[in-house]
Amino acid sequence: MTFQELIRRLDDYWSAQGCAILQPYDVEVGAGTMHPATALRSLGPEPWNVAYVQPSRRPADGRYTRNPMRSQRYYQYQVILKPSPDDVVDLYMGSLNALGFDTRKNDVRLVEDDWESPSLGASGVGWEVWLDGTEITQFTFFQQMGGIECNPVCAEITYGPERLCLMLNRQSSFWSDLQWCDSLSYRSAEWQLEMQNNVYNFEVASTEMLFRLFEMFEAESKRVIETPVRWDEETGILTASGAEGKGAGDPSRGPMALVYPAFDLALKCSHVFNLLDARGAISPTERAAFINRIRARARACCLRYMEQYAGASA
Amino acid sequence: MPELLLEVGCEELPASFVRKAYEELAARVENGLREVGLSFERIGEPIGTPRRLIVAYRDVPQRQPDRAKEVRGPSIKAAYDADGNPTKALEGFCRGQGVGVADVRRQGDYVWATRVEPGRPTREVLRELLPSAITGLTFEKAMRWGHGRLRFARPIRWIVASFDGEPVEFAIESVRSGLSSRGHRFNHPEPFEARTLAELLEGLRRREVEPDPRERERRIREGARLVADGTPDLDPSLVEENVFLTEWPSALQGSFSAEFLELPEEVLVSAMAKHEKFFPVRDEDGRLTNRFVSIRNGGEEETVRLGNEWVLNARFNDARFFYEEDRKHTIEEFLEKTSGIVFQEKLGTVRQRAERLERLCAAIAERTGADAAETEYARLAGRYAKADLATGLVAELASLQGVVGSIYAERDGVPHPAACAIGKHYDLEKIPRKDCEGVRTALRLVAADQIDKLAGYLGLGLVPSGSSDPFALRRAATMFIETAWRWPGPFPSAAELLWIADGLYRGQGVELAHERMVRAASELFAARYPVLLPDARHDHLEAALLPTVPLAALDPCGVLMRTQCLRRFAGYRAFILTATRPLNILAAAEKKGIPIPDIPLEDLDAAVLDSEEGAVLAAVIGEIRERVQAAAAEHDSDTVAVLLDDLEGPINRFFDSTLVMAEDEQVRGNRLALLAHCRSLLLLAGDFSRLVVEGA
Repeated sequence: MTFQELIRRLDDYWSAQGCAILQPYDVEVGAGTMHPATALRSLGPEPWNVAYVQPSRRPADGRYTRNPMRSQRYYQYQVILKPSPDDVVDLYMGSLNALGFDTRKNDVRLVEDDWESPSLGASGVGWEVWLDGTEITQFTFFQQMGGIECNPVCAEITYGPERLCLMLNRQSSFWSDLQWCDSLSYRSAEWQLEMQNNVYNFEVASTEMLFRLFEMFEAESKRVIETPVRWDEETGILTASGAEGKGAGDPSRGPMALVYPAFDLALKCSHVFNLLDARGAISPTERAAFINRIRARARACCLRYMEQYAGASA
Repeated sequence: MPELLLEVGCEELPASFVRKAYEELAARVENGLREVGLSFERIGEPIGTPRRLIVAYRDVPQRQPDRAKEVRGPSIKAAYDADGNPTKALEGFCRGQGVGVADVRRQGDYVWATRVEPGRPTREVLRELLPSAITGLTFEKAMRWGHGRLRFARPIRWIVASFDGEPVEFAIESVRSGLSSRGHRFNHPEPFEARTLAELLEGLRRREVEPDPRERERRIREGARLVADGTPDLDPSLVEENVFLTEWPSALQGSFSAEFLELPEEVLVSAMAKHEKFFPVRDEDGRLTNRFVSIRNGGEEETVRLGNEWVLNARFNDARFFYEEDRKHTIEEFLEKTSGIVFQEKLGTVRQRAERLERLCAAIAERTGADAAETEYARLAGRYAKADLATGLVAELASLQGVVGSIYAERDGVPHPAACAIGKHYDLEKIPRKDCEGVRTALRLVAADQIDKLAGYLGLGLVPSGSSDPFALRRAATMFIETAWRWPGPFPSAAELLWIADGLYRGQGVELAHERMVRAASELFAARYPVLLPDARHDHLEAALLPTVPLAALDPCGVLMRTQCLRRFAGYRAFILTATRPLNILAAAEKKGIPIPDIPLEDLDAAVLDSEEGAVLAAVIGEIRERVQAAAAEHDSDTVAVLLDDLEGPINRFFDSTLVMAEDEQVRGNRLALLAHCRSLLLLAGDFSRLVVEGA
C-alpha cells in the first residue's frame, strides 16, 4: 500500500458515501479541524458532508526526523458528516474494509476519548479507534465550536494516513519505509522540508518578528471582522464601500461580515503562536493568555458566521 | 405471570460507565414500577457490555392494580343545608368524582370521597415508564448526536422492550423500540428477535456476545492464565477495564523484541497495561518477560497478535527514543526546566512548587521525629518530586510520572529513600505497609504534595461542589487522611501544615485567603471520614469530629483515635450519660453567655467549690490528666478510655450532690471552671453529647 493509494481509497470510499472531496486549506493549520470546511461549516443547520486531506503543522512535535513516526508537518485525512448519521459508526467501519483492513480479522475497538481545542473553543465527545491496539482514528461528535453549541451535531472522523499506511504494510518508519507511490518515497518527498523546518522552528525563527506578527495578525483579524460590509443589489457583490453599521445575515448571502478573511488571520495567529511555543519563547503564565486571545478571534468569526441563520432559527 | 425485558443498545459506551449505567437503569425501572403499584421480581442481576444495558423482570402483572384515592370535598357546612340535605356544592363534587351523594364520608370539617382509579394495562404504563427510565440515566459526561436534543453517554442505536412476549412500543430520538437485538458488531451485525431474557441471552451467546460481565471476567482470567507462558499480572482494575471493553473476550499471548527489556520495568509495564490494556507476563522468579497477554474482542488470533506486537514494538521504540534523549540531561536540569510548566495560573510554576514541597517535606520531617539524614531525604524527595514533568518520557507516557523521576533521580545520585519516595508518591497503594526510611519519606512526600495542592486551590476559593471536583481535591484530602493513618505514630494535623504551606505561598508572592482555606479544608475532610470509615456509626463520627472545636476535622489521627475511644464506650450507656452532663451544662451556660472562668485546677479545692464532691472530682482530674493527655498524644485510645472511666463516679457524685448553677456568682464560676477542666479531658475521647443513646 502506498501513501497515495491509501488517500485515493479514502477519497473513493467517502465519495461513494456522498461526500464532496475538498482540497487542503492554504493557510498553515495544526489540524484538519481548523480548515474552515470544519471550523465554520460544522456550525449552522444545513447538511454538510465533505472529506479532505489537510497537511498539519505542529512545530513543537518536530524531532529532526529521528523519531520514526512523528514530525512537525504531517497529513490528516478528515471527514465531516453533518448531521451525524445514525449509522455513522458503521459507515466508518466500511472505510476500514475499503483500506484493506478486515474488520472480521482485525480487532477493532472504540475506546472512550473526548476532544477539545482550547484555541478554537471547540469540544466534542467520542472515541479513539483502536485496530489491534493501534490508535488509527479520532472519532468525535462535535458538541461546541467557537463556544457555540452545535445543532445539529456533526461527526468528525480524522485518520492519520502515514501511520495507517505503515500499519497496513507492517512497517515502522515514515523515513525509511513509507512509499508515496511506487516511484517516490515519502522520504524523497518530505524529508528535506521536515528537517529544515525543524531547524527553523526550534533554532532560527525570529521570536521578535513572530511576536510582532502575532500582534499584527490579531489586530487585523479584529479589524476585519468588525469592518462593516453590505450587499450591493445593483452590482451583485459584497462590498465594504458605503456600508454603515453591521448588517445581519441572510442565508442566501451569508453573514454581513468578512468571516473568512478574519478567520484566516486567526489561523495565522495560531500558527505563529505554535512557532513561538516551539521556540520556547512563551512563558507558561503567558501561554493561557495567548490561547485565550486566539480563541477570542476564532469565536468572533464563528459568532458572525452564525448571523446568517439568525432569522431561520427564530 | 408475564416477563418484562429491556435492552438498550448503544454505540460503544466508555468502559468505566457501563456497570453504573445498568445498575442505575435497573433502579430507575424498579422505582417506576413501584410507583405505579406494579409488582415484579428480578430475573438475575442487571448486566451489560459496552454496547448494551440489560434488565429483566418476571411476575409483572398484566394490569396495574386499581387504586383508591381519597379526595377532599367541600366543608361539611357547605355540603349540607340546615335540614341536612346535600347542597349544590356537594352534588357538583360527587358528579366530578363519579360517586354517589350517599357514598361520601364526613371526617373532620370536610366531606371525603373515595375515588377508585382503575389500573391501566401494564403495557400502556410501560410505554411511558421505560423511555423515561432510559432518558433519565445520568453519566459523568454525556453528549448529543445528529438532530437530537437528548443527552446520553453515546448514541442509542436500538431498544428491545418486550412485555409478555410482545413489544412495548416507544421511541427515543430516532430509535423505535421493538424486539430486534444485535450480536457482535462485526461478526453478527444482522438483527435478531428476542422476546424474553432467555431468548436474548441465548441469541447473544450464539452471536458472539457474552452479556454477563461475571462470565466475561472468568473468561479473561482463565484465558490469560491458560495462554500465558509464565504468570500474567492480572491487576483487578485492568481486568475490569477489559471486561467492559469487550463483548466476546478471548486471550492471546504475544511477544515483543527482547532488546526492549533494557528499558526500566515500569516503562514497559505502563506501556503495556495503561496504554494497550495488555497484561504483562512474568517468569517464575517474578521477572518481566518479553511476553504479554492481550484480550481481543474479535478478529483472527494470528492477525490480532501481529498487530498487537507491531504496536507494542512501536510504542517501546518511541519510549526508548525519549528515554535515550532524557539520558542526556540530569535531574537537576529537568528540575530547572519545570520553570516552564504551569502548576496553576495563579499558583505559579512547577519549579516554584518544587521549592515549596522541598520546605514542606522538611517541615513535616521535623514534626515526625526524623533525624538529620531522614530530614535530608524528605527535602530531596520534595525538591525532585515533580522534576520528571519536564522529561520527554513523561510528556509521552503521562502515567509514568513519579516512576521516571525516581529512576532519573537515583541515576543522578539522589539517595535511595528519596528516589524511592518520588516513584511512589502518586499512589498510596504502591507504598509498602512497613516502617523504614523509604516508606517514611514517601509518606511525608505524599502528605506535602496534598497539602500544597489543598492550600493553593482552596486558598483561591476553588472548592469542589456536587459532582464537580476538577482538581481532584477530594482525592487529595483522602490521600492526606490515609497517609496520616498509615503513619506509625501521631501525624501532624493538616491545620498546622496548611498554615505552613500558606506561608510558603506567601513567600513566593501568592496571597491566599487563609480563613476560607481552612474552613473549606475542614468541610472537605469532614465529608471524607464517613467514606473512609464505613463501619463507624454516624453519631460516633459526629462526636469524633468535635463540632464545637474548630479545625478538629483536619487532624485525621485525632479523629480516628476518638472514633476508637467512642467504640469502646459504645455499649456503656451509664458512662455516656454521665459524660454528657458536664458537656451539656457548659454548652447551656455558654449559650446564655454566662462566663466560664479559667481557673487553675490546683486552686479548685473544697472551699472555693463549696463542695466536697467537687474537690474529689478535681483531685481525680488532677490525678489522671497528664496521663490521659499523654495517651491521647500517642493516639493510644485504649489508655484514654480506661483512664476516663475513672471520672464516671466522681462526676455523678458531684452532680448529684451539688447544684452547679449556684446563686452565688463566684461559686458558680468556680464550679463551671471545674467542669471545663473535666470537659477538656472528655473531649479527648469525643463529644459525648453528640452520641445517640437508646432509651435516653
